[in-house]
Amino acid sequence: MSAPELSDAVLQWLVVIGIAIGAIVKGAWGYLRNASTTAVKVMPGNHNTPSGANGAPAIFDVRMIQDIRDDLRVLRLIAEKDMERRTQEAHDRQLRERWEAERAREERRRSPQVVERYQRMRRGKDDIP
Amino acid sequence: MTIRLLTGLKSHFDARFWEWLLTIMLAWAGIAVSNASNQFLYSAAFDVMRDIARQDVWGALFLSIAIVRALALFLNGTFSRFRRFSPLVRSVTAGFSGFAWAFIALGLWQGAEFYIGAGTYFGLMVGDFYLLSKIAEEAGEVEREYRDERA
Repeated sequence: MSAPELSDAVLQWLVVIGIAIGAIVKGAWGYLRNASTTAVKVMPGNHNTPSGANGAPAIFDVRMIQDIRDDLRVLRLIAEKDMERRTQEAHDRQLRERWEAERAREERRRSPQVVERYQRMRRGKDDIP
Repeated sequence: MTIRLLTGLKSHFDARFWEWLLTIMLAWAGIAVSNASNQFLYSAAFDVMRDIARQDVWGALFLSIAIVRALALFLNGTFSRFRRFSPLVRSVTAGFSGFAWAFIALGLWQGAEFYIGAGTYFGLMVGDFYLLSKIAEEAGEVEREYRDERA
């Protein structure tokens, strides 16, 4: 076999071995990842924990529990955001009411009737204290 | 028993079609290699294999891998007794089958021409190695379910 043929042969072997090793490593990794999840047994009688049929312990695996925890975390975030929004709205509503009350008071103070009455008071024409 | 085997085969056939196809092809190749006289001398496809072992040895090897793989395909999902290890057997035999196609592909490839067979067998090799990795993942899930039931 000449040198170019040899290098071609080596390259071909490398491709085949590379594909084989890649598949074996991927398969082994997938096997170990799927097989290594630990089961958690949830016993009946614990507060706020479900049980299987007829009160038998429910078997959850860690990934299910992790999924449930993630869902709860999302729900908690949503609830917190909602609470923040409601608090902010209540605060804004208070500010608005206060501002409107101030404005109404200011308008009453400057209304023509009030101004005339004030002027009459100053001229002594109005005995209302 | 026969009805149970056939029912099991029918229920899983869609999911395992490619495995069955490759198993039949490997069995065919094993029979062909075993029976064709002196084929190793006349075909470039077997250049690599000829350097390793005799023709009848290779034929017997291909056929054995195909038979074991076919058995695993039959039994997996039909009998719960074989539930735990049959996916692993399927995965390992897919790997051996991949190597079988690899030897033939290399023999054609090293013929220094672009044979259609080189691409075909290379494709078969990639297909079997892909099945190896996918079935190994399935085997991991089965192992976890098996262990969880006994927890």
